[in-house]
Amino acid sequence: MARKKVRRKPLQEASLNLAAMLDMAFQLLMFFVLTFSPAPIESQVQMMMPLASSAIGVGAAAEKPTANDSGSSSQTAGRLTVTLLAAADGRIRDMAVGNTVVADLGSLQKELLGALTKAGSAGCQIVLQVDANLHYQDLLDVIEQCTKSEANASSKIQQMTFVELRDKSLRR
Amino acid sequence: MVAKSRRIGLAAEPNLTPILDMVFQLITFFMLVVSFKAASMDPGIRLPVLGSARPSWQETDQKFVVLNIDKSGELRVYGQVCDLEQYLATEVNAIRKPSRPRRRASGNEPLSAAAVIRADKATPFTKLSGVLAACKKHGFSNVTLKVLDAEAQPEARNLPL
Repeated sequence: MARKKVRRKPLQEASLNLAAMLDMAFQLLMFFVLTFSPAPIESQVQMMMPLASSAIGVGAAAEKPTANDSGSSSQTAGRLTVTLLAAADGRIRDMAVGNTVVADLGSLQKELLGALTKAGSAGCQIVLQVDANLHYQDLLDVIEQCTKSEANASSKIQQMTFVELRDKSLRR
Repeated sequence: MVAKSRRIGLAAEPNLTPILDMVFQLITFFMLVVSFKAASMDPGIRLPVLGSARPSWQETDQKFVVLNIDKSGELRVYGQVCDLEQYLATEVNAIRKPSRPRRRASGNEPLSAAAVIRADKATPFTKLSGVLAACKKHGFSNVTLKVLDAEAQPEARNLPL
């Protein structure tokens, strides 16, 4: 008796249609590409402010925030006053180190260097009397000159105090 | 009778697997570089340029509060103007909230968190000193001023205020 041949159905390969998944992947990719925005690399200047209860100062300086570069006492350090006056547009107009008027940032650095050298190892406390209208950029330029002078001098800036000048009679 | 030859047509289907792999690679790249915290850094604020600034570095465990100050002295949070005192009070309360219920957080203890001030370069000093005074009032002793590096972006210094 002849055997019946059992014909098996040929195996069908299951193919996965990836087109839909690829569409979704492209949608996600477009979302991330459109929302991606590289931010400029930012630097920073760190300040340590004394707490309100431990603030030591004279007059208006006691109410203003101060930046303390080190924890050492400023009682024996020399005190140097830098005055910054702004023009009507907020740009820096006049600068003075103590009673000496300086013309530009280079002269300011030289005056500060001389003052810090005179102060010696005791260091110096810098009081910045800043016009209320002065722009932030110009203030930072002056602070940068102070730190550059400290780097070149053998003395150290113990503390930097900011005092806001509100007297409009100082403005032209 | 001529036998007709039957041509069996071949269906050409491109293999989409490699292109899908590449797309997933790109998606993974953008997912890793996207930073939603960067949205808190207001891009409309033009930071001042400083030559002696140090590169940004913060301890990973340290909490910080970002204050975006525009040139009129207003605090901007995700583009919206907000009250500075209220915002600082909310953030400080969230920072002082103790993680363990047993431990009491004293309101007078100095904050370990840092205040990061991103102020526009044309911000008047009176507004900036107000911000610093508010930070000090809420217990921030560690304050960081964000600036742009003059060496990295020399053209930024020449932009008008």
